Amino acid sequence: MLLEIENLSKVYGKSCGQCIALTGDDMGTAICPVCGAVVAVNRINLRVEDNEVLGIVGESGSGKSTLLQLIYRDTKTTEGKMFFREMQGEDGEPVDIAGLNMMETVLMRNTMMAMIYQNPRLGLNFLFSGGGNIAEKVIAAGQRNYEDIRKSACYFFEKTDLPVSRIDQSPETFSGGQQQRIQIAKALAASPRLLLLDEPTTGLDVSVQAQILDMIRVLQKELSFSMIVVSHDLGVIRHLTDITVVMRNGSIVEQGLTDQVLEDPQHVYTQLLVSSVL
Amino acid sequence: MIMQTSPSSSYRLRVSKLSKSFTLHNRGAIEIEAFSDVSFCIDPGELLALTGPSGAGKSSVLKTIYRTYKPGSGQVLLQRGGQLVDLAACSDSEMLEYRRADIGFVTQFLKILPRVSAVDVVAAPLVALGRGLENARAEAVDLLRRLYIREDLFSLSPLTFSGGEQQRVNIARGVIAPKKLLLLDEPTASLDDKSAAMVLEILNNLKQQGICILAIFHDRQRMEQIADNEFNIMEYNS
Repeated sequence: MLLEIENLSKVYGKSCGQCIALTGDDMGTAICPVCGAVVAVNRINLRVEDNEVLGIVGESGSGKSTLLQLIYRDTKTTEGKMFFREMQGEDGEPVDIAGLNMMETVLMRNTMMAMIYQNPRLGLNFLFSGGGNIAEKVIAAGQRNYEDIRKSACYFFEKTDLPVSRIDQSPETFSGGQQQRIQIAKALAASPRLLLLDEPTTGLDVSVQAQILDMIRVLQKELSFSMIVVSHDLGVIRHLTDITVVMRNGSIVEQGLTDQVLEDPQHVYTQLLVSSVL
Repeated sequence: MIMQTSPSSSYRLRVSKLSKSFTLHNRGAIEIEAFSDVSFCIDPGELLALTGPSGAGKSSVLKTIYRTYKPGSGQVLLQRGGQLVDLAACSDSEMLEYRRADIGFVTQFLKILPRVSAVDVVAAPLVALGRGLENARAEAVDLLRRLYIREDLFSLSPLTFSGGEQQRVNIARGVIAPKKLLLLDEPTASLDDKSAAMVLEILNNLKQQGICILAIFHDRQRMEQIADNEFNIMEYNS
């Protein structure tokens, strides 16, 4: 078990204390009827095994991106626990990463877990060069020799099919597809056990999308890490994932093997989703 | 429990009272039965043919065993090593592991990405087992040749091939790294006699290696050439 999430909830806004109980898919809303707070993630339980690829689908506002942000610690957990096997306490047991301090979070992000955002501006520092963004992770991993750092940056540029000749240019000067590749190169430099991807190819044209998804799949198999992929595109989910989770109103309404969820959807919402494919 | 095949303790797969129905929520929650109360056993090295008229639920049985369809009720017991596992009740992660290690499924139609060559499609299962790419490709080429695929097509996407050629690529991919249990959905449909005979020869080979096969044939004559036992889904249901 690489990641185990127990009863995870996130409330945006001042909670009246009953929000989580009064919302969720059973209640048909993510907005608390008493105080109006938004319960983006509602008592989620989830497990990810080694080398497994988990997909999360759902409509806008279903809480799928918030769930990733909670795991990556971009946003603070309201309730619940997340045990990540790579982050261990002094007793050697996995610690609850919802309780990590800032230093521990940085350590986790530099050496165990990485995130690819839909918007490359969230994942990359545009004031650094493409290579500089990668070097940041290489340095954080303990590398101090300039030549070695540069060699590593070149290695990850090549690994993600980026032109090494442009390694010193700003991400600004790269195309949208290449910016996603730089994000992936940077993520790989953290040698993650778990890679989180939030709509990684949304907005890219289909040929670039296919190249990037193929590349992600090859890298995942070759380097064997686990992934959680958030996408509203069932094609992306079919292409990349083993297991799919369907969310609505902050709750998981269905979970199963990806081919089962797509060919034999159980929940009324999943059936609607699958029948809506163009 | 009625067994079409001889009950024995040495079975590899035992399906017991398996049922499946679909609930269509967006059609007024109507319930459609796919099949019900299906029971049979298959021994290592045995090919059991699943027969019955079109629409009887033959493909649904295969998909339910493979968990592409969520099993309704009943058991799907698989012997793996000394361990007996219930595919109808195991977790998704466990099922992924059993699919990777124990169960092969050749579906009726080839489902692949449009940008992978025939050789690489067929070599992929070997590569996944850790075989070197060159080595795996050489073996894939041998198998494609045996199945009478033209050499000049090897480097093209099989999606550009004829129906019968796609079918043969699909079978080649399904048998190149055979697992203990093989599910086959119409392996000889749309094949000419020469190709079909070769497919049957390959299946015979797999049986001799102790592979256990559950197959649907559209052609009774070919089925009788290769099947050790038959399970008729309609007779059993009625």
